[in-house]
Amino acid sequence: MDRREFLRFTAMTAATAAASRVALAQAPGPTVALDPALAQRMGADVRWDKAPCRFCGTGCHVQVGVRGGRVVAIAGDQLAPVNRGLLCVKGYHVGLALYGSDRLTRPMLKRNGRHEPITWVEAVDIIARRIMARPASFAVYGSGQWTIPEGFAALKLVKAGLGTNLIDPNARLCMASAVTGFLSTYGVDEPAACFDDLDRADAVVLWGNNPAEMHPVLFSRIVDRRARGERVDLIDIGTRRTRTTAFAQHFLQFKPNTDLAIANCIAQQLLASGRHDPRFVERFCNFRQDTAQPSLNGAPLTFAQYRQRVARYTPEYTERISGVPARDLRMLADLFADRSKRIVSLWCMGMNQHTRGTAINRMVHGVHLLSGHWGRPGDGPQSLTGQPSACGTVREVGTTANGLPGGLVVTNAEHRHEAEELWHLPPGRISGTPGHHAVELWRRFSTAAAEGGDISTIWVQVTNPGQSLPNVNKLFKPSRALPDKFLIVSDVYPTATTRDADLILPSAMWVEKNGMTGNSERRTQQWFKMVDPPGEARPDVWQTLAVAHRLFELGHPGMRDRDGRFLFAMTRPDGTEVPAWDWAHFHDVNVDEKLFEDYRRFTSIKHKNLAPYGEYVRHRGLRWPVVQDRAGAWRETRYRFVEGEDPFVAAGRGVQFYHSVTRDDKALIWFHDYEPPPESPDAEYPFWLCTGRVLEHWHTGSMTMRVPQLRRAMPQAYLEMNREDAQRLRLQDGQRVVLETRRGAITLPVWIEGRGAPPPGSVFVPFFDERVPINELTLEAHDPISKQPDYKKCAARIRPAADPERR
Amino acid sequence: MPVAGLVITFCEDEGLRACAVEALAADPRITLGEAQRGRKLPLVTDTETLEEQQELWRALVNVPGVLTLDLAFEDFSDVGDFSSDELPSRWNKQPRHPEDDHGSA
Repeated sequence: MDRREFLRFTAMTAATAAASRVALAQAPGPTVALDPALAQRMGADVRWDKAPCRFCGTGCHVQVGVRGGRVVAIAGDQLAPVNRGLLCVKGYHVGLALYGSDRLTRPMLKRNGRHEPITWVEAVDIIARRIMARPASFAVYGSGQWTIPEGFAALKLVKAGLGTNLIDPNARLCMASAVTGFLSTYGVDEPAACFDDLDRADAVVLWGNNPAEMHPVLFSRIVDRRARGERVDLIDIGTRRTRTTAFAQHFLQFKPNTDLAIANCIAQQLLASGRHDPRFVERFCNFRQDTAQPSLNGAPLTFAQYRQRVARYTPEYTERISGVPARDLRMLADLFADRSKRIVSLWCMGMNQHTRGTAINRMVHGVHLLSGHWGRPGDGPQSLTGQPSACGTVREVGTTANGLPGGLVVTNAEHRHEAEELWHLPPGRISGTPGHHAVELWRRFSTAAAEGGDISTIWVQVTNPGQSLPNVNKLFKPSRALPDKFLIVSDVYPTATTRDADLILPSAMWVEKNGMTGNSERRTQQWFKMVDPPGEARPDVWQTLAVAHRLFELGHPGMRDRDGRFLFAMTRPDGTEVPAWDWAHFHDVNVDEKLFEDYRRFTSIKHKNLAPYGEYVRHRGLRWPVVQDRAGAWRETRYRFVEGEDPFVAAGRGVQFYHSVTRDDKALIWFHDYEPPPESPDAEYPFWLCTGRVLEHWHTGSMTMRVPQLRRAMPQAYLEMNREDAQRLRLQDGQRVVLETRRGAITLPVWIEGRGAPPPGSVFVPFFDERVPINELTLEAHDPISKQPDYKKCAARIRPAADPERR
Repeated sequence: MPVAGLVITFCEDEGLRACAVEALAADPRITLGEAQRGRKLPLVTDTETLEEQQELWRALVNVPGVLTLDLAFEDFSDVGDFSSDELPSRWNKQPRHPEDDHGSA
C-alpha cells in the first residue's frame, strides 16, 4: 500500500466511523485518552493528539496529526461526545489557520509611523513602565478566545496585582445579556441544560438563531435525527430567512426588536387559557419586573400582577406590533401548552446583541418556566456562545469589569475577602469598584484625558476591536490621534487593530501552546502544545507573567502577596521555584496546570466545581459541576438544579434553584413591556441594517480569511438585499453601492437574496471582511444592564456607488 | 493532492438517492464507502488541487438527493499551496468611499 492508498484508506475509515456513529446516534464513552484506531492507521511518523477546535463555542474535538513539527492532518474526533467525529467546514480547516504566510513573528514598536522590530525584553519593559507610571489608567481588553489560564493570569494581574478592575472582554459584545439573563432568573450564570437535549427534543425553537451556519455541528445533530426517521420540529423565529429556515417547519418573521412582544404573547395565551403549569410555577417560581432604573434584581411582582401585565399581549395585538400572524402566535403558544412535548429554545447573538437583551433572555427562560418545559432531558432553554471559551474563561474565570473567579463579584465584600484569602493578599488589595464595561472602556480611551478620557493604555489580547467594536469611528479610531494613548496588541496575524497599535506582540496560537477552554454546555476542555510557534511568537500567558515579573522587579507593591512572594510564583514538586516568567524556563513546568489549579480553588464556592487538571487530560471535556463520587471517581453534571443529576440538589426537592435571587430556591419569571428600539428606519434612513456572521468565516476573519479554501468559498463581504428593494432602487446583483448610516458609510457589492433572504426594507452585512468595515456604521447603544451593544438593528440608506468600475 | 473523508446525508426519496449514488460512483475522484443506516454514505475525495476539491464539494451538495455534506477527515500534508497568494491584505484595500462620499472615514 503506497502513501496515497494509505491516506484514502484512513479517510474512508474515519468517514465510515463518523457515518455509523451519527446514523446510529451513538454517543462515545466519556473517558478515553486517545483514539487508538486513528493512531494506528496513520503510522508512526504522524503523532496524533486531541484538541478542541479553535473556533466557536460548540467545542468540537479534533484529532490533530503532526509530522516534522507541523500540523499535517485534522480529523473529527470519533470519541468526542459533542461532535462524534464530524466537523464543520471551519473545523476541519483549523490546522491551516496556523500557516498563513504573514504570521506575526517579532515584537514591533511604532516609531515615526512605522512598526519596527524590538526585542521581547524591550517590549515587556515598555509595558511595565507604562503601568508603573499610571497604573490607574491601564486596562486589559481580553477575549472569549483567551484560554482559561490566559484569562485567569490577566485577571489576577489586574485585580490581585494592580488593585483595579480595569479589565473587560470582547465577550461583552456577544453574550453579556445571556449572563444577566441567567443571573437575574436563577441567581447564577450559565445554562442548566446541555447539548444532550438536542437528541431528545420534539421541537426546537430558534430565537433569532441561525445554527445551520453558526453552530453547524449542533445543527447537524438535530437534522440527522430526521434522517434516522425521528420527528423533530424546527420553529425559526427570525428577522430574515437563513439557511436554517430551509429546514424549519415554521418561519415566524418578526419586525426587529419585537421579540419581547412575542414572548409576552405566549405567556398571555398560556394564562388566558389556563394552560400554564401551575404546579411547577407555584413550587419553583417567583415573579419580577424592572424598576424605574433597570437593575439585575428588579422589583417583586405577584402572579396576579404578572397575569395582568401580559393580558394585553393577545395574538391580534402582538401581530400588530411584531408582524407575525396571529395564527402563528397561537401555534407557538399551543406548542408550549403541550407538556407531552419536549421543547428546546436555542439562541445566540440575535437575542443577546439587543438593547433589550437582558429582558428577552429573561423572558425566554420565563416562557419555559411558566409552561413547565424545564428540567427534563430535551426540555429547556439553552443559550449558545460564539467563542470557544466565552463561558470557560469570561463567565467562569470572571474576566469582566466586575468579576472574580468562580462567579464571585468585586462588589461583594465577602467575595473580595475570599479571593484575598485564596490568593494570600493583604486585606483590601482587591478594589470594590467595578471597572468599565467594554463600550465605556473604549470610549474613555478615545476621549482626551482633559475631557475625562482617563484610560491611557489598553493591552488587547486575542481579539480585534479595531474591526469588531460597534461604531469604531467613535470608540476606536479617535484614540489613534490623541497624545499619550498607547495601544498594545497581542495577536497572531496583522489585523485592523495591529495596524493602529503602538506595540505589537506576536502570539502563539491554538496547539502552539497548552490550553483549556469551556464551551456552551459547561464543558471544560484541555489540550497540550503540539508544534512550536513561528519565529519569536510566544503564548499570551507567558507575556502576562513576564510583564508581572518586570513590575515585581521595578518594585510595584501589588506584585507581591502578603508574605512578599511574587504573585505568580510557581514551584516544582520538590518546592524549588521555577522562573516561568523567563522564557528559557517557561516550559520547565506546566504553567497551565499551575494556573488552573490556582483558579480551581474558587470554583466550589458557587457550585461550579472543577476536577483536577489531570482529569481533563483524560477526557474530551467534562461538564461542571464535577464532583467526586463515593468511589473517588470524578463525575460531570448534565443538568443543573435537577434532582438525581445535580449533586447539590437536596433529596426530595425535584428541582432546586439553590442560588435563587429570592433565597427561597425559586427562579424568577420576569415581565417586560415591548419598547421600540433606539433607532428605527425613517424617511432619511429607510432600511433596517442587521450584521452577523457566515458559515465559512469566524468573526473578523483574521484566521479564516487566511485559509485559502474558506477564502475562496466566501471571498468578500456583501450587502444582502431583498429582490423587491433591489428592483425599486434599480440595483443589479453584484453592483457596488454605498451603505450609509448616521455614523458612517462603506461601499460594497449587492447580493440579491443570496445566502439569506431579508424581507423588504431590511439588509444584512457580515462583519468578517476587514476591507468592508461594517462596524463603522453600527450603533453603540447598549442594554442598560448587560451593557451589550446592539449590532442587529439600526437605520441605513443605500445608493449606487458613483463609480461602479471601482471594485 | 488533498484527500478527504466525507459523510453524505441523502434525502428520503429512494429514487433520487439511487440516482445520486450512481452519479457519485461515476466520478473517478470519488470512492464510495458502505452506506450506513439512516441514509448516511461515507466517501473519499481525492483531487489534484485544493481548488478542484472545493469545486467537487460544491458539485456534491448540488447533486439532487444530497441533503447535507459533512467532513470527517482531511489530509493536507502534501499540499503545497496552502500558504495563500491571495491573502486578505489591508495594503490592497479597495477605496471604500467613492467620490460622492460624505467623508465619514
